[in-house]
Parts: sequence; C-alpha cells; structure tokens
Amino acid sequence: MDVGPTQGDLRGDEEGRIGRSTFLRRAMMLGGALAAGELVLYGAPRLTVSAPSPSQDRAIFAFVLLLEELQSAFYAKALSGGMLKGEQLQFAQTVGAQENAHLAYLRKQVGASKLKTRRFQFGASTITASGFLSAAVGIEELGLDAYNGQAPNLTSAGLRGAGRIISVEARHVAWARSLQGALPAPTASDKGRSQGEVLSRVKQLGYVA
Amino acid sequence: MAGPPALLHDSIDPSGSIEEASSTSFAFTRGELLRTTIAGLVIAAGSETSVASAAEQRNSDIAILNYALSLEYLQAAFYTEAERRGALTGGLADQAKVVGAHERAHVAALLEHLGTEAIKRPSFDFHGVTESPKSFTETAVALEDLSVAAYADRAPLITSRAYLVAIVGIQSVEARHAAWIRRLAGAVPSAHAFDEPASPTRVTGLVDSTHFVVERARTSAHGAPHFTG
Repeated sequence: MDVGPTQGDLRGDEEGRIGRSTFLRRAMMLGGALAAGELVLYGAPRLTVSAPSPSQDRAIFAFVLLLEELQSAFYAKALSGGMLKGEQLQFAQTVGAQENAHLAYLRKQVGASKLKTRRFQFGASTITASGFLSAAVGIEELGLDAYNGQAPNLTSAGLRGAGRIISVEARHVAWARSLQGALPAPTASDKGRSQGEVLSRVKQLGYVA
Repeated sequence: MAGPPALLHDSIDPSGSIEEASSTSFAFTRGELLRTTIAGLVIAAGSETSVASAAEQRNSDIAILNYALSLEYLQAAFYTEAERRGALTGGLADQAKVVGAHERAHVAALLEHLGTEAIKRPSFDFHGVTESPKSFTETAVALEDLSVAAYADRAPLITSRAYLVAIVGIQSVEARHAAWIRRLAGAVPSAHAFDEPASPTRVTGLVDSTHFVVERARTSAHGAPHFTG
C-alpha cells in the first residue's frame, strides 16, 4: 500500500493527539489488509508506510521528482513552441525556471545513482494558449497534491526543505487558476493525495512516454 | 534560483505601509498575544535538538499551534474589518471576502484543536489601513507573505501527526492567498523558487512594529469606531 494521508481536513484526522510514529505503526497494520492493486510507478519507488526516516525522505523525494520533471518538461515544451504571450509567457518562464530549481534540489537529495531517465510527451495542451492554461492548472495541482499528501510523512529535516518548495507550488497553482479566471484558493484547507491517487492521475494524463 | 534571502521586511513591506501604520499610532502596551506565544516557542526551540519527552513534545506542539492562531486571528480580523468598511471593489472585494472566510475557518480549526489551551483573541487596531484599496493591498501582501514564512519555519517542528496534517493544509492555502493578492497588487505571484522561513522572533517583531495588536482598541482618529476583533 502506498502512504496515503489524505486527511487534509482542518479538524485533523481521528487519531487525535497521538504521535506521528504511532499513527504510522497502526496504519501499517491496517495496510496489510488492503489490496495493493496495479500501480504504474514510472520508475518512482513504491512508498510504504513507516515512521519518518531519512531513507523514507529520499523515497518521497524520488516520487515527487517525477512530478517536478513532468512540470519542467511541460514548460520547456510550451516555451519552445513560441505561442505564449503576455502574462501566460511570464508565467511559463517564471514557473518553468522555478521548477528547474526544485528539480536540482530534489536530484541532490535523491542522489545521482538513484535517478531514472524518463521521457514525456505533450499533445495539444502545449500547442494552443487555452490548452496550455488548463494543462498547467492540472499539472500544478497534481504536484501540489502529491507534496501535501507526503508532507506529514517527512522527517523534520525533510519537511524543512520540502516546505519551502510546497508553498511555491501552491503559489503556482493560484497563479495558474487566476490566469484561467478561476478562484485562486477555492477552499480553506488543501488536501493532499496519496501516491496511488497521484500516479493514477499521471497515467490518465498520458504525459509520461 | 533561490538567490540570497531577501530581507523579509523589504519583501513584506516594500512600500513601508506597515511602518507608516506603526508610526501613526501612539503609545500602546504589547498584548498578551505575543508574550504568550514567544514564551511558548522557547520550549519549541529547545526540543529541536534533544530527545524531548512526550509532555515536552506536546507543549511544543501547543505553542506552535497558538503561534499559528495568533497569526490567523490577526489576518481574520484584518479581512473582516476590510469587508465591513466597504472601501474595496471588484477583484479586491472578492479577495477580501473569500480569504477572510478562509482565515476565520483557520481560527475555528485551530481553536478546535487547542480547546481550553487556546490563547484568547486580542483586540486589533488597523490604524486605517483597511480604509483604502492601496493600503489594504499592501498590508494584505505583507501579512500573507509573512504567514507563509512563519508556517515554513514552524511546521517541521510539529510532532503530532493530526496537528501536522492540519497545519500543512492551512500553509498551502496561505501560499495561494499570497500569490492571489500579489497578482492583484501587480507583483509576481511567485517571486522565488524557494520561500524563505522566518523565525518567531522575526515574525512577532514585525507584527509588533505594526501596532495592529492592542490591549484595547483606541478611538479612531477618523472618528469611526475601530474594529475590535
């Protein structure tokens, strides 16, 4: 089973005030009863439930690296097409450069020997301006959901690094939604998604070749 | 891409609106709010490097949540007053309405977690910054960027999973708020690849300098009764 803290509810989960490691031990016992299902991992490690540790941090970083690579490749492709103008162009240039910086940070955390080579393919989403925006919103929200889902599983040190990226990803989501004419912040609390939910969505989008 | 950390004060108060606001106020006594949170956060800082007992961890978590509550009280009061003043129109009015509701929901959520251990809501005096679109916008940018920096600094120290899940969900929305108001202000919504954390000392020092938190709301120089939270 994948690590799946999706309780972004403001009232927290029903575990109350027990510690993070206690929660995870209980979750692991329950997890054995759940069917693993078919999960396409795209070279990312399958995240298992255990108490926060440096090795789990690296596995989580290797997983979110997939999303950062996807975002980076998406903006590079969109910018190479030359069809973006005005604030959309500024958005793609600014955000694209920031995703590249996130990529460099995560690759360093994961370690060169653990890096996978992935190829991406983008269809109409990068060819038209309207297609670009809706694809950008989808990709940014997916990245944010992935990070928010894993943040509670990181060690204090891991979260100290990732937290500075997560808020920037949230800014990207708000900016993209705003360009689209949608509410930048539709709810009072953001809920994360589990690895399984994120990878299902990646598969559905079909961007990974 | 991260670059050298910008001076937070410059980034949160580029036009000096907060300083201006603080210079217009007269003598005031610092509220219970900041004293309580600073005292509590000393415990939090101490548990960072050593193996803390369960009781110490819990006290540290409570201090962090109360610190978050102090910032959410401030933001909620700011937007609520702005909405009541009615000086905002269009996109700014929409932002104040939606974000104000979020900040009030954050206060309610933190109160629910903290129960009887929650710090009390202080009184606020915004010294007129909610009365014009320009000063509202500048102050909102400052408050939102500041809250993002504050959460980035404290969230990693939380030991309770339930609390951390709640704080992570709020932190992400604060960053959306920051991007939203920055865009309305004509600033880049996401100016850096990495958001810089700000320590409680830095954050409370900046909040203190605004004189927005007061023991008791003073009579307004503008003749209208001020919002008391």
